[in-house]
Amino acid sequence: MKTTKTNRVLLIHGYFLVIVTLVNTVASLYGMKTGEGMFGFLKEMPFSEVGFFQAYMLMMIVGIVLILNAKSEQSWKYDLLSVVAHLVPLTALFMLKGEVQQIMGVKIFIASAAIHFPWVIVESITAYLQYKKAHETAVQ
Amino acid sequence: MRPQYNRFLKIHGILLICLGSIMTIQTLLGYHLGVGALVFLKNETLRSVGLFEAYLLAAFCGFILVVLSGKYYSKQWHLLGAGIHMILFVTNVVFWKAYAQADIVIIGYVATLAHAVLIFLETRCYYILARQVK
Repeated sequence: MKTTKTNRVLLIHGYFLVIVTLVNTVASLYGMKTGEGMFGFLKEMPFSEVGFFQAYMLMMIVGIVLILNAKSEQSWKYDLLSVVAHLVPLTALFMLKGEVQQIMGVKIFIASAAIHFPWVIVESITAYLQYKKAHETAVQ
Repeated sequence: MRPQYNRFLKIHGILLICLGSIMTIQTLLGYHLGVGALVFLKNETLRSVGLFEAYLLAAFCGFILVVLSGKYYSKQWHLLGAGIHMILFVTNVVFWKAYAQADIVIIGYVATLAHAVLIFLETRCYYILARQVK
């Protein structure tokens, strides 16, 4: 793999994803067992944790992919991958908006959207800039 | 590096895309219409949200494997493939009661076994390629 300058946004995004998903996994398991914390609602619906556990851990895998490809020659592709990754939970949130707000609370809904939306915007801009840079380098 | 390993990663990715997409649709059908393999999801909002995300992300991880099996193929991506199935395998084992509760134990056995097989195959690919490099 030919290495170029590190795509810092991608690197920070990757570490952010790994840390946040790990925290959320532990918090959701704790909420399921004790009924306390922001995922306390899982105590009454423990089988709901199956999907959340998998989703958080798979998102962590996406974070690892971003970290490992931050030095990639065409890192803009991974910026785009990360945008699509955030669109998955956003789709679930907005498809079942009413029900999610009712069960998980409006605060969690807003917090979740506030995590995903900024990354979609930041990574889209980064993808464009990195693509432009890679294209210019190729022309030279 | 032998091309068949690269091809295996691509096939693995395509398999994940297909199964992840099918299960995402099954989740939506089960939740909204109460039909299909996940009929127990009818009116189970929270469970459906989690599974919808998980299946769609599994399909997305498949897409990532297909991308990584291209120009920038490297032996380490086999560990990524194994890691994806390790997560799904561990979830199945830890939350085994969920299969019993939903009365889909046979599906549980098949899925868990499939994850175990793919963990073995991907780890083996990595192991063989790592030995070749030495």
